[in-house]
Amino acid sequence: MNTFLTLLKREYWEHKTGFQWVPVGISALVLFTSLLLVIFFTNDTVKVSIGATNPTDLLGLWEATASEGDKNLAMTAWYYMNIFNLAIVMAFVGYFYCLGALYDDRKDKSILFWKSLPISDTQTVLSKVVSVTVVLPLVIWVISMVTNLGMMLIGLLFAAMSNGDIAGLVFSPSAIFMASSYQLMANVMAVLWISPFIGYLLFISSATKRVPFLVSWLPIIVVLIVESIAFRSAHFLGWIGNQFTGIGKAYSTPMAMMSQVEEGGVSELVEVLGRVGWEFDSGWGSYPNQLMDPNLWFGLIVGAVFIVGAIYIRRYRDEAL
Amino acid sequence: MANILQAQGLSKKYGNYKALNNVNLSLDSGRILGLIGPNGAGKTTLLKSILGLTPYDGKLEIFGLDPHKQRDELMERVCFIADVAVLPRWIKVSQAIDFVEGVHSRFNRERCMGYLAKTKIKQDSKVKALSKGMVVQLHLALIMSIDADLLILDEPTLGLDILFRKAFYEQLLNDYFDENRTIIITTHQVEEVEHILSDLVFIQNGEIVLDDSMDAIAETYFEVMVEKEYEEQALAMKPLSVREVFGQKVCLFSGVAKPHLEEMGKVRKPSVADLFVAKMQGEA
Repeated sequence: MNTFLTLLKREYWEHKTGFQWVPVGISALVLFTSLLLVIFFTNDTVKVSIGATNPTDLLGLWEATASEGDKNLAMTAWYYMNIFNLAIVMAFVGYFYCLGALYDDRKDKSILFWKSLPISDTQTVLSKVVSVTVVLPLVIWVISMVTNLGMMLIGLLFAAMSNGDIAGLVFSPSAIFMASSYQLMANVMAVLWISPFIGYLLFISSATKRVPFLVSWLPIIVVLIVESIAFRSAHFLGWIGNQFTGIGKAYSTPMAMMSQVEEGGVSELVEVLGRVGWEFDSGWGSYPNQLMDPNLWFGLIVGAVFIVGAIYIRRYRDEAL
Repeated sequence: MANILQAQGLSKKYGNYKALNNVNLSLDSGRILGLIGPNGAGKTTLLKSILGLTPYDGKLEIFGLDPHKQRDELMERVCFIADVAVLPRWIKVSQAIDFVEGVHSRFNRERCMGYLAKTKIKQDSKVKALSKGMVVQLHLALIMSIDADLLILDEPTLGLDILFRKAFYEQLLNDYFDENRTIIITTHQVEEVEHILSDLVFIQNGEIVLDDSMDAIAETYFEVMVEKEYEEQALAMKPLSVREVFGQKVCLFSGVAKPHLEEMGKVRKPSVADLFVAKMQGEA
C-alpha cells in the first residue's frame, strides 16, 4: 500500500502544474473578474443601466419580491456553476495527462529508472488510472469548494457596497454545501462516462512509439471512415456521442435536480441533502437513470479492457522503451 | 558462495541478427564481474535479459527466478543503472529520495544522505538543474543505498571526470561491496575497473570469448617483452598477439608456463585492455 501511495505522490509531483496550479489559476481568474465586476457595478462614478434600470436596483427589487426558497436555489445554482470552467480544465488536463502517462518516461528513458525499482507494471499503470479518475477530480472538487467560498466573500462585499440589503441572501452556507456536493457527484458521474476514453488514451500512451497526440486520433478516424464506407452506418460515432452526452448529463443533472425543489426553500434543501440525486426522476438527467444505462457499464468494461492492454504492453514490450 | 546466476544456451535474435548466441554463464555471490565487449557485442542485450526487460530463448535463472516471468520478485533483490542517464528531469532530489524510500523496503535513507553530503547536490534542486555528473552522482547515491543482492552497472561512470570515477569505484568497493553482494559492471574504461574485478567475461558478436576468474587469468596469460635474439622462437610459439613497443616485440601468450617464457625476456601480467584487444583480434 505504501508503494501505491508513493506512486500516487509521484504522479502528483510530476503533474502539479496541471493537477493543481492550472485549475487554481482559472478559479483565481474567475474570482478576480467577479471582484472587478463588483467594484465596477458598485462604483458611483460609473452608471450601468440595462434599459431604464441599474442592475443593482434590480437586485434590490429581487430581494424584496423573491421567496426565501427561490433565493436559496438561485444561490446554489450560482455557486454550482463554478464547476463548468473547472470541468473544462479537468478535461484538458486529463487528456494530456493520459497521453503522456505511459509515454513520457519512455521518451526520456527514465522508465529504466522506474523499472529498476520493485514496482510491478500493474501498480504503475493503476497508479496513473487512479490519479486521473480519483486524484484529479478530487483536487478539482476541493478547488471548486474554495472557489464557492471565494464567491460568497465577493458576494458579501457586493452586498456591503451596493444599495440592496442582500447580505442575508449571499451568506448561505447551506447553499454552498449543497452546491459542493452537487459538484462532487457531477465529477464522479463524468468520470464514469469518460472512462472508456481514459482507458483508450492510456492504451495509446503505452503502445505508441511516437506522437501520442496524433496517434490517439488516428484509430478513431479510421474506424469512423471504414464503418461509414463498409456498412454505411455510424454506430461508432453514435456511441462516442452518447458517452459525451453522458458527460453533459452528469454536469447538468444537478440543475435538473434543483429545478425540482419546490417552494419549500432552505428546509427542503437541507432535507434533500439526505437523498441527493437518488429520488429525483427527471428523465434522462437523473443519476439513477444514468447508472442503469447499459451504455455506461459497457463503457466501463471497454475502459477496463484498454487498461489491461496498457499494462500488458508496458510489461512485455520487447525493448522496454 | 551460492550460485546466483545461471545461463544456459541463452540466445536472442532481432530478426536475422543474433544479439546473443548460445551464451552460457554462471556467477556466484560475492563476485565482481566485468563484462567487456565492443559496441554492439551483446552486452546490453545480456543485461536486459538478466533484468527481465526483454524476452529471450534458452534458460536463464537469477536467484532461481526466471527474470522475464518473475520480474517483480526479482527486482526486490536486484538493482541496476542503465547506460543512459535516466533520472526523470522533473523530479526534485528530495522527492527522488522519498520515492525510492517509499517503494523499496531495503533503502537506507541515512546512507543516501551520507553519500549526498559528499557532493554539491542540494535537496531542493530539480534533476534538470543538475550537471550531468551530479545526476550520475545522485543516481549512484540512490542505488548504492539499496541493500541489493545483485547490482548491475551498465557504463555507470559515463560522462564523469577521472577524479569522480576513481572516487566512485573506491566507494563501491569500500562502502558497498561485501561477500553477500554481487556486482556486474560493463564499461569501456577497462583499466579503471580491472583492479576491483574478481571475474572477467569478454563478449563479442553475441558469444562469450573469455570467461574466467581474474586469478585464473593471471596464471594463464603472460606478456613477454621478447629480446631480439629470441624473436623467432617466440613467434614460433604462436602468441595470441604481437605488438611492437620501441622496436621490441611484445608477445601475449596463453597457457605457456611462466619459467619457459622468462628465458625470452621480461614477463609481466597483461592488462585487461591488452588481453581484450588480443582476444578480439584473434576472434575477428
